[in-house]
Amino acid sequence: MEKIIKLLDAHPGLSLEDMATMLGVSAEEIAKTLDRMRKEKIYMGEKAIINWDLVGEGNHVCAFIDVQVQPKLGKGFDEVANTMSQIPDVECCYLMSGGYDISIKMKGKSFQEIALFVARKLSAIEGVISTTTHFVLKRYKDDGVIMDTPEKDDRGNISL
Amino acid sequence: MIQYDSLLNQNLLHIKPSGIRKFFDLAEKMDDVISLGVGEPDFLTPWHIRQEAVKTLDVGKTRYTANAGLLALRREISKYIENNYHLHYDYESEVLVTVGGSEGIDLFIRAVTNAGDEIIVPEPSFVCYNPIVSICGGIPVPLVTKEENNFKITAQALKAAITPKTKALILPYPNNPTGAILERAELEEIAAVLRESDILVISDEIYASLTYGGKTHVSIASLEGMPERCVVINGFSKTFSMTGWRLGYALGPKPIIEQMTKLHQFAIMSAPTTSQFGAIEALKNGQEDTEKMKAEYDFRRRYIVKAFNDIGLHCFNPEGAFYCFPSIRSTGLSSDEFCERLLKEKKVAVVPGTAFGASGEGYIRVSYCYSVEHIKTAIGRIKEFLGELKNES
Repeated sequence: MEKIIKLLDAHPGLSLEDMATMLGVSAEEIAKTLDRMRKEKIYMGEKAIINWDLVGEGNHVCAFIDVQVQPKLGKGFDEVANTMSQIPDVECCYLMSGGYDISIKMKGKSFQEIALFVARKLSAIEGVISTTTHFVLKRYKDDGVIMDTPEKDDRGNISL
Repeated sequence: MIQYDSLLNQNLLHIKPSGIRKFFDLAEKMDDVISLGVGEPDFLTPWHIRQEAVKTLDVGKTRYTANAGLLALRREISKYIENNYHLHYDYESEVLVTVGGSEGIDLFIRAVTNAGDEIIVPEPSFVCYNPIVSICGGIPVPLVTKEENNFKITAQALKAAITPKTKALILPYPNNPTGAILERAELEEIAAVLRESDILVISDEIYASLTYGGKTHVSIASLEGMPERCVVINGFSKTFSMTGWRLGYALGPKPIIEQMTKLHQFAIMSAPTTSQFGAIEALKNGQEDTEKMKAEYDFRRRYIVKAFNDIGLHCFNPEGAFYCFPSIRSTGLSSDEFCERLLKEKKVAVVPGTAFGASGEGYIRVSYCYSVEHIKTAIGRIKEFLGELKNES
């Protein structure tokens, strides 16, 4: 399983046959392991990395929101965090160490849309004490991919 | 008008420029080529290595180092080769830091070759050995390796190539271009032949860190009775993706390293200082990077070998380096024709096997230092090319 995870992490979107070739095992074995990983919720799917800065249309705005929360007796932060995770525009929701409790990454069509959402919806969730919103101004690297990668291979075409 | 030909070194003058130079020039001039032609990693040098090197510039470490290289670097090299390859060399007298592995090869050949000496050079192999031997007035003796022997040299063939004039054997494994490796039992057989002689070995182990399928590199110099007759060449280019830093090292018996150092001192002075500091960081903290790159190469290796076999070009299973060496005999074209037509008709660049010696005829060298997507596109085009070739006949 460890090898499959490494391969998935480095090369998402491969066919079962390609994965089998690259790991030197049978496609059936890969399928079985992936199935098990899905059932155990280890493998949760794959997602495209898009440079939204270049998409333009629709202004894909992104913000990180630090949220301070009053934990609930017996439930800690889980209840609030689960509620927040249900919101479709919340892309990521993490419990954090440090100066605040929950970190949210959210997307929206405009700064205003996100700001209003935070003010009207997020802050109103029971247990939320405060929020601090940081807007993303420019994406340099997303999910391990540097956005401004050179188009041309500077190694040339042939060397011995 | 000056007759330059009479003024130049005649040994150098008589070395023929490679016949495939034209092909290379053509490939380099085309800018929309999908290439599988380069012999260097696609990974950048790991960040922490770059960072350490920059730090040394910031504090002004910009002077020459000792001729043989920074003592701290030689000490790290000595530790690294002990841990990884069970090689024991005294960092004060048996380690020389060179400008790439290539300089080490050049120094060794120049240090040992007298006019008329024969140097055995396995083929196909990297291109630099023969010309350097010839410039020194030595005679390169090709030792052809074949696919039926997994491109390994055999003790029997080696014995047959040895004459009273044999000075040294070049041992280029893991091999560029075939990806062949030599395992312990095979090395033992070769060592048994050499132990009875005064023949030196230069073991070019630049791809030592890149062996696959659970096999680890064995250095001939780790076998009994061999250190005294071996010089090992290794470096940072492939192991740590540091090609442009131009840094390598030679390990060997003090009397040989001393002479190589003398030559290095006159010609080079010392290897680039910043690169040497970067190399210390690489050896201390770069093992994980090497492992990651190796795992990625292994994914691609399995993929590309199967892909070539699937499209009908039989491909030897490489166990080292980052090349595969498929046969193109089934197409009826020569290696040069195949590569030139593939480049012109499908804009895919690969290297003709003949670039690595006449025995590379019938093969192409394909590098998998490219993303899987890139490799897929290139293979797709090669498949189209093969289809069109079939329709012609």
